[in-house]
Parts: sequence; C-alpha cells; structure tokens
Amino acid sequence: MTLAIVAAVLLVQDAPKATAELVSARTHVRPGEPLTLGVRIQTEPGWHVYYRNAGDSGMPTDIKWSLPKNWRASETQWPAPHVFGEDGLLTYGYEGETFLLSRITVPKGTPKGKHTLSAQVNWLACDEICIEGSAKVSTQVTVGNAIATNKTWQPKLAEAWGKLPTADRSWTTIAEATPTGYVLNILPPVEELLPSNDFVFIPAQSSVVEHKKNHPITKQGSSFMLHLNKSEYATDAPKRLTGLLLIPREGEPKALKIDIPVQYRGESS
Amino acid sequence: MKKPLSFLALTASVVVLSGFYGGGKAAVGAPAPTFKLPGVDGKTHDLSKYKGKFVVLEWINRDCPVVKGQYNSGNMQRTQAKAKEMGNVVWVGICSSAPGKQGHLSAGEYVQNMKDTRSQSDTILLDPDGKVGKMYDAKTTPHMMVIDPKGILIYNGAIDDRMANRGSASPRNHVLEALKEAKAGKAVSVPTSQPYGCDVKYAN
Repeated sequence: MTLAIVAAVLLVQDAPKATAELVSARTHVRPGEPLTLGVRIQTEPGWHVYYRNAGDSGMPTDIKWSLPKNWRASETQWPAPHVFGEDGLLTYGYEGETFLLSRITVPKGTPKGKHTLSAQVNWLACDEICIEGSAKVSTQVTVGNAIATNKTWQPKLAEAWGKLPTADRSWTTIAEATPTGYVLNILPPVEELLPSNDFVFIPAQSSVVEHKKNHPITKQGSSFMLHLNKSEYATDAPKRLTGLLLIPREGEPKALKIDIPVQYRGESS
Repeated sequence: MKKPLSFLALTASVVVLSGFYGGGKAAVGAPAPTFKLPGVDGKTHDLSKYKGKFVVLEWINRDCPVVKGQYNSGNMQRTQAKAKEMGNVVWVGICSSAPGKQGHLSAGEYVQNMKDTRSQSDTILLDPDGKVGKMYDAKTTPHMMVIDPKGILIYNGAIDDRMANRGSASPRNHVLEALKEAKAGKAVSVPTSQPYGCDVKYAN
C-alpha cells in the first residue's frame, strides 16, 4: 500500500506542472512585414507561473530569444495577470493557458526559405510547493513572396492580443508622491457605472509599491484616490508610475495600462 | 502542570524581548527584532547575545528549488564562506516552514542537509510557528537580512541582483557588499532589494 502511494506521489511530481511552446500567427511571411509570436504556457490545475513582476515571492517568467540574424523580437507583451494570495504575501501570475506575446518585423533582405525561431523559457511553477521549469521552444516560418496564416494559432493569438491591457484616455489618472508612497487619482469617464470600488494596482516592477489587493481608497467627488504605500524595498524616487490598474467589472476586471509621471510637490522626501 | 507554565514563560519572554528591542516589522536602519530560537546544533541562539558581531540571517527551505539552485551552484556556500572570512560575522539559517508544509524538517534532517550541501552556515534555527519570520516579514526562501554589531538591520532582501538584472554577466551579491561597506564604515549602498524565491511556508 505504502509503495503504491510513494510511486503515485513520484509520478505526480515527475509530471511537468507547466509546459511551454512557441507558436506563430503565420506559416509564411514576407520580408518587411510583421509577425506575431506567442510563448504558449499551460499549467496543471492549481499551479501558476509568474508575471513580469512576480510580487512578494516567486520568479518572473523569462524568455530569451534565439532568432535569425537581424530579427528582433519586441518586448514581451504580458496579459493582465491573476492576483494570488493575500496582502502580505501577494503574487501575480497565470494559470491554465496563457500567451506571452511578441511582435517581430521580418527584416527586408531576409533570404527566402525556412527559418527557425527559438526561445529559452524559464519559469517557477507553484501551488503549495514550487517547481522550476525550463524549455527550449521553437517554431519555423517560411520567408518568401507568400503570406499564409497558421489556422490553429492565428485566431488564438489575435484573441490574446486583443485582450492585452491598453491605455485609455477616457480614464484620467494622476500620480502624486506622498510621505509614505503615492496617491493614484482616478477619474472614470462620465458614463462609467462601476459595480464596486475594488480597484487593484499591479506595479510593472517590484520594489516600487507594496503589492496589495486591498488598497485604502477614498472618494473625492467623482474621483477615486488609491493610496499606495512605498515598497519596503524601494531605494529611489521613481519619475514614473507604471503598471496595470484593474477596474472592477461584473465579470473579469478591465486592465488599464498605467504609465504616468509622478508629481513631487517639492517637499523633502 | 509544570510544562505549560514554562512554555508560556518562554513565549512571553520572546514577546517581551521583541517589544523591547524594536519588535514588529524589521526596518532597515532600525534595531533588528531580537529573538531566541533553537538551532539544529542543539543550542538555543539568542540574537541579542550576538551584539558586537555582524549577523546574517538566511531564510531557508531545503526543498524550495530556488534555495536548491543557490546551493547546487555553490553560490550560497561561497557567500557564506566569504562572509565569515571577513571576520566577526555569524551566519545562521532560519526555517519558518509550518508543520505539514514544505521545508518543515527535523533538526536531524537539516543537519544532514548542511552536510550534503557543505553549507558554511553556523547552524540553522527552527521557527516552525513562524513568529520570527513574521517579525522580520520574511517573504521568500532565500530572504537575507544583515545585522550590524550594534544590532541595527542594515540589509533586507535578495541575496543578489540576478532577478532584478536578468542576464547580467556579473551579478552583484548584496549580502557581501553590505558587509564590506559596513565594515569599512560606509553607508550600505543597496540596503534593500525585492527578495525572490519560493514563498515562506507559514501556517494558513
């Protein structure tokens, strides 16, 4: 009985908790034209990998590209992550299927023919425990006069791209420094009806503000003031506040891209 | 009847000590919270008795892959050895894994782990109720704290900047840098940085 249990535990531990593959929106591309790629990560139920800012623990998922000469992958476009844990030990990451996206412009002058695109992907997958994972992933595209979409992946990549957080000028956001951190002043568009005040700010980098899902929030007229405490690991006074603002919705929150200057009122820090 | 009383007394003394020496969250620049914890070496270690020495605290979980990575590469042991070579440095691991959680092991198992990894740490302290971990707000394994001879916390965070500066050819070792600078009488240039690793396995 004990041997069977031990064997079963070993089997479970050997099964990869997360897998990665590289998928392309196109099978055939022309020089000078854009190409969307996605590192497709899938996790076992209950397991998650981490966002560009893992939060209080974990390790960000990392992608290192190996591409043909002169090909350059754009900065990774990260879908809005889920928030795991509680304030005090809060992390940001992904469970299930996720596409970490990138765009390449195929350089003019790329020789015709098949080209291999590769990446080394490293991650930490956690549920109660954590398991490191690593994979070399690749895909091929044919460069020539023809364009052809990959019928399996183009729709999924287009859907994932469409869901990426975006800036939205109809929301006014202003960041002011305070003695303990920052106040993010949020003015929604006039017609916006919010189901709750549960805004969550997810910083793009660690060591800037405390990672929280319950920020103190006050209302001033139509504006919401989100009080963000400086991270205990912060070492400088950043010029900009970057991250995502999760706006409460009936279903999934809307993720607003925030990249705004921090206003310092000229007082001593 | 006797056992419960002395346990209460010990708990009370830990609480009183931490309150007296700046207990609560450990902040860089402030006195490091004091504590008494049993070591896997069979001795009780009282942080306040280490005044006059530098103390490095290394939050550990034997089975966390990030900890294993630091030990498999030899980086942690090299850091431990270099730190102690500087002289007047005490290095202790602390395990705050709760019973039933990953990393919660017996003293014997951590003694074996220290042998297997050729750890250069003086010992590992056992903090199964997580009190000391929470006093320091230890979030990850590894998570490093450096305390100066006056009992002031001078560094809190990651062991190095490998996570902050992915792909850097020469990672900065924050623990060794803090010790070097403080020993030279300088201010610590990087007093804090976001730690990385598995979360500390506190009780739910």
